Amino acid sequence: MNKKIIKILMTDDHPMIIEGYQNTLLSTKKENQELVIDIANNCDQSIKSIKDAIANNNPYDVFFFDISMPPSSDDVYKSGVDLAAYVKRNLPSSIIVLLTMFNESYRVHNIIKKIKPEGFLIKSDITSSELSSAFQAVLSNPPFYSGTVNEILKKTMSNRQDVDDVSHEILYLLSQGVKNKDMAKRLGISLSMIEKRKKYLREIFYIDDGKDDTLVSEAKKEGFL
Amino acid sequence: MPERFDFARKAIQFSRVQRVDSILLSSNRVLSFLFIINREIDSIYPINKENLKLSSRLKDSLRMAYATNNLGYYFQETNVLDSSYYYYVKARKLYQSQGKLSNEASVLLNMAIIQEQERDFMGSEISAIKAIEVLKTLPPSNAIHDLLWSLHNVVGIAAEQLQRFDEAINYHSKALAYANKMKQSQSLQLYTQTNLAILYRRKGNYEKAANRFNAILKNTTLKYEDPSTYSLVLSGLAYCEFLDPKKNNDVQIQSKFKESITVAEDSGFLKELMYANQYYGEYLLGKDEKDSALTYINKAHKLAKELSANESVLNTLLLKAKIEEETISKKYLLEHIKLNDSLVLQERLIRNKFARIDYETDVIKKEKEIISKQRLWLLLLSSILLISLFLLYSIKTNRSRKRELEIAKSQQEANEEIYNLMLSQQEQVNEAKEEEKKRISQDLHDGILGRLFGTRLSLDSLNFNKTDEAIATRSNYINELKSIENDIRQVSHDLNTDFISQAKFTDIIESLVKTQTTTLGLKYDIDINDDINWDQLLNKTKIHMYRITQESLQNIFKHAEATEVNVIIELQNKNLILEVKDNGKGFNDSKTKKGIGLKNMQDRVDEINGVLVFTSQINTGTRLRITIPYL
Repeated sequence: MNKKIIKILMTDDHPMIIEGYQNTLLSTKKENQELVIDIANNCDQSIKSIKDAIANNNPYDVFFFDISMPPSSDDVYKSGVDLAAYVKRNLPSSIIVLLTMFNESYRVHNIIKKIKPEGFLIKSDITSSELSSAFQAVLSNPPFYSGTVNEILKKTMSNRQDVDDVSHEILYLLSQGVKNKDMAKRLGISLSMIEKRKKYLREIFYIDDGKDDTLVSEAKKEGFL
Repeated sequence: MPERFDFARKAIQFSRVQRVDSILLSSNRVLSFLFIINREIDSIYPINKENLKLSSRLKDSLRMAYATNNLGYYFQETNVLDSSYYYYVKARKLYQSQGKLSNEASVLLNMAIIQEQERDFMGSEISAIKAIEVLKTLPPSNAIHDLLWSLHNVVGIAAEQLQRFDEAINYHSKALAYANKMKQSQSLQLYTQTNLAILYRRKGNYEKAANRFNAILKNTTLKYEDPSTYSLVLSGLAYCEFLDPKKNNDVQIQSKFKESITVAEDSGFLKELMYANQYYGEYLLGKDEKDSALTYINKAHKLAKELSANESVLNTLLLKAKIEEETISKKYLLEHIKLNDSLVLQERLIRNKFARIDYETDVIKKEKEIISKQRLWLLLLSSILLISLFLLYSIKTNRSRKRELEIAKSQQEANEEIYNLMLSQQEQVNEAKEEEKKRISQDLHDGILGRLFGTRLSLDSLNFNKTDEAIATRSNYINELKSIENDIRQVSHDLNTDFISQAKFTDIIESLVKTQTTTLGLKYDIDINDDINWDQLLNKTKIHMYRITQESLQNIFKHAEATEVNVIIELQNKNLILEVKDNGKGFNDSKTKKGIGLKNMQDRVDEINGVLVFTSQINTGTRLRITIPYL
């Protein structure tokens, strides 16, 4: 029987988690599968491995990326999302599985929109059996999303045309408690523009008071967050 | 009439009770008027003296004029002519200033009459002519004509006395014309006509004189209606006929003289009797009947002396000298000369006196002006003084109010400043809190959760494996769980520490010292007693402590060349001690002048009732010690 070699790169800043992935995958792989697992504990290691593999013409088949990680030393790759984006650009046929602790609707939506990963798992969702079935699913029948992700996607994402991406991000950042001036820096727009957009959002959500909390909770009700 | 007096007196009484000067003045005037028309001469003086005082107090010039005029009248009536003249001069000026022209003219008339009486004929003429000038501007009326008649009459008499007969005739003619214009003026007309006749006689125009006398005598009732004039005219005519060389009907002349004397004697008209006797004596002398002549002349002389008719005294003396023999004649002549001289002297004195009164009133006026000017200056000066005092007072009160405000303001500012400091300190604390929260969240999320997840996943995967190896690995993960437990405990402990405490004044001082010394590159040590209850200190005290610390740190950096700073705040004997020490080069504290910085510091310490002590010696550093009352 010819064993199918699957080359995997796991990137997570917690060795414990990688160990968990390894343990799970190794103990639940199919008979005909042979897993070759490389690990990276940060963005730098990860991008190096990716680039090396491409250079050696021996690229990975499957990538496991943790999303929140300290940025790379050259600050180009700020998270697993950036690594995934790089992979998507350079190895479009490879399989990407993103794993994250976060479960905010907005981020989930954004990431799916941006990366279209074959697998998207919220860490709190998964047991080892689920991880194992996810792994098999992304190989044979992608995409695979864990329960919370599916729920988020199921929620009719508001399609209002009057809330564009920037406004949407403002709502998200607001929900994270980011201050206006930091928001301006992050989004690269002026403070007055942010205030203007917030005012506009209050109007379209029919909010009387000037509190950010009210705006955020209304946006949550409307399914923006 | 007695009732009117009663009413007037009652009015005065009421006015006195009311103590209103103007009402009293009015009431007095009524009474004074009653005195005058009833000729109660002696009562005129006191009431008008009072009125003069009241009206000058009220600054009522017109009523002052009335009162003064009445006083002049009083003295004229009591024959104290110089006083009378004095008051008239004053009254005239007052009337003049009030534009009371007819009153002014009548006062001038009285002055002219007095002057004429006192034989100051020139002065009399001048006064009368002034009055005539004044009256010319007024519309004619009976009263004005009356005045004008009197004035022309006076001028005529004066001119006659000055031997200017043509002028005198002219004035009397004018007087006659005014008398003719008046109603019921027969007596005036008669008087003037008599004067005219006498004038023509004196001028030597005997025919005209005789005609005029005769014209007067055509009035057959004159003898009964006006016996004095009748007597005068009769003797005048007789005298005239005697003097006229063309006439010498001695029988008629003598009978006229005799009738004149009889009429005058019967009616007791002394003046007329005097003239008649004199003229008759002269006539008899002309007829060389010396003895009879002397009898009449002596009678005339005696009457002239009684009447103080000096001119007649002189004339009779001359006549007597003509009649008597050498030695007696000489005696009369000498007497004549003596009397004449004394009269001339007296006239001169009187003229001088009137001139002086005129002048003196001017002087008094000028003096008054000077006094009023002085008063004005006094008033001006005292008001300036008063105003400047007031200004000084208001400036002072203003200043103290401003100072109070400033104190309140500085208090306010101190409060604001400390509040701001507290606020910024609070903000720093909050930021730190926020940071800490974020860190803990990060810890939980990234660290502990991740590790838990990994461990769970691994344990989960080991479920498929029941080998001994797997059991060993499982116990590894269980140990891992233990270590996670410890981590969670750590986080919990971190959360429990009191980083949420309020910003305290100590924190403010500490962060000040820390930031200042760090930027200045100094090592620092800070020791603040935790027992100090900062809440019981005034914000002002705290802010000054803060500023003093700041200032002294800057001084240390600028001057001390120190490497270490030591800040101590402690309690000592109910005092709060703030001490800032450095290990710099120091200075000789007895020789160094206080700079602005030190002075500022001293001011701050003074303001919080503290005591500031600098101790420094060369190369041993400097110690600033401030003692502030704490309890």
